Amino acid sequence: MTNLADLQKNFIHDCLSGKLTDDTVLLQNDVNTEFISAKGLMGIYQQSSIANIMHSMKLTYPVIEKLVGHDFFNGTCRQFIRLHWPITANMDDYGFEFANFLEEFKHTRQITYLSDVARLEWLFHQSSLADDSITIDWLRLSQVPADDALALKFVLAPSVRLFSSSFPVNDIWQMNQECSLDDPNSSVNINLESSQKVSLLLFRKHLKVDILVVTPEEFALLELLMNKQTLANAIEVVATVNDTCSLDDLIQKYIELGVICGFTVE
Amino acid sequence: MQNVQGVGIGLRHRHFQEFIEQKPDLPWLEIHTENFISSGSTSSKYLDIIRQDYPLSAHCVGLSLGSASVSCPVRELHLQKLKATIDRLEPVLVSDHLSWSASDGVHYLPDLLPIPYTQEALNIVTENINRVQDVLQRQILIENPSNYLSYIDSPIPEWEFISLLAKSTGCGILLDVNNVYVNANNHGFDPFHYLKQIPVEPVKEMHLAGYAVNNVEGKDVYIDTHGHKVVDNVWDLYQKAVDRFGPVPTIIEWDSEVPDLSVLMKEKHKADAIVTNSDWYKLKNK
Repeated sequence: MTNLADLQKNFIHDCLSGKLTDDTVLLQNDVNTEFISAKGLMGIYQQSSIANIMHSMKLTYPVIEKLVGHDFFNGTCRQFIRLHWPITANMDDYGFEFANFLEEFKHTRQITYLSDVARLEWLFHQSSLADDSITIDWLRLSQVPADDALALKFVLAPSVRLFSSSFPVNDIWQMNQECSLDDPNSSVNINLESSQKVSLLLFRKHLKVDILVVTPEEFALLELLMNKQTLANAIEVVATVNDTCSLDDLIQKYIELGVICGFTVE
Repeated sequence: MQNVQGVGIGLRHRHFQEFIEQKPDLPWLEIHTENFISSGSTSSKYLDIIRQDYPLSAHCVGLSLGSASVSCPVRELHLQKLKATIDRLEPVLVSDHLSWSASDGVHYLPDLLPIPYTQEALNIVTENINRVQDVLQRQILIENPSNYLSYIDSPIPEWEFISLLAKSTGCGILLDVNNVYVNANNHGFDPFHYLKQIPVEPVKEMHLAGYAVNNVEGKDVYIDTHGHKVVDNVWDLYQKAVDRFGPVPTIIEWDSEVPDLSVLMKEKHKADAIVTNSDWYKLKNK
């Protein structure tokens, strides 16, 4: 009898490594095959475990599924799963590599915008699961001495995610939401050839994740704050993007939106 | 800590709104703990409201109690996440399955996979249950699994294996009546004999669910789908289980193609009626 550790390793291999044949089932000497072959028995577990993984992929990537169709999505996921076995018991954490996979996969690599839509969906998924944030302490902020203001480091809400793409992924995402699909008047033309870069901010307010288009200077500011840069650094960098922009107004706006939820002073 | 009694149901996403608005008459609810690990998620927000009105049981699927490696990193990480979730939700009961999901310390299959019932496995599962109970600082319940294959080298009957675990670790038993029936058909044993071999005291909860029958290579395989009503034979077995174990808290499970809440409530009332017709109930009210 195979020891338990090896038996379990073989079991996972049989379930995730692809098509089962009489010769490839590693567990054939361990399971009782009086009525059903080892291939048939392992097939039951292979089907159910892959179905469970695919269920989680469908929850994370509903727009990709709509874009490529149910059957193609299932087939693509099967190929993805063969290369990316789960390494977490929390299936919310599974599927991060899907965007890169779509970029390389021979049947999708020519659909150039698809991987960026997948990246947006992954960030949306992460944002929806992030911890709650607290509201900024206005009183404490107002008490920061003027001399220390440049050393302020603002803290972004845990649900904040930033993403930029060369494709109008926000429009593609919006057009594939249930409410848009049900509305016959909601169709718009999306120009995939437009080379205009889109910068996006995702954050959760109450139960809903919002995807907002932001200007290049806003994106630069939020990226700096996400990287824990001081206000002094932010002023310097944002000025190189747009020297007419008012940083005060932007900070005020993002505090009011709840995107900035705290601060520290170096 | 609250106590739970009577027949509840598994709380599923499609019923969240009804629970908040209508507060259906149920003594308790069971959740799948893994669906609420993230405290900021929409599901957790709903649950925070619902659990103000209902005691909860936290039913886990990812502790992988049968994994060969006690220091399995993927399982340890999950255990820490579950501890935080359980501390936050304060459930009355915590349970997981007599199965495994994590292998070689790294990979994880989201399924409840069968254990060979050997002395080696018994030692390993004992250590794993002790580890989980130490970390959680509480008793957990172990559910008898549904299995579609058996191993050539598996000399200990399942009822004996699970009874030995309860004795050696102090864990409780979550007796899934449907799984007893499913396994009895898949592996050819008498389900009533199974019930008689399980000690009464450790059984702290029971599960009821529906199954499907698939044909594999010309042989019927009973699959625990949680996607159907409880079948008559399982109700009969439940009657015997209540006669033996008393009216232990029971949950109606339904996970795939989850129906209207009214369907689950009818199943709950059917279970209630079995409890009130049980030998235990008649003796008590003599």
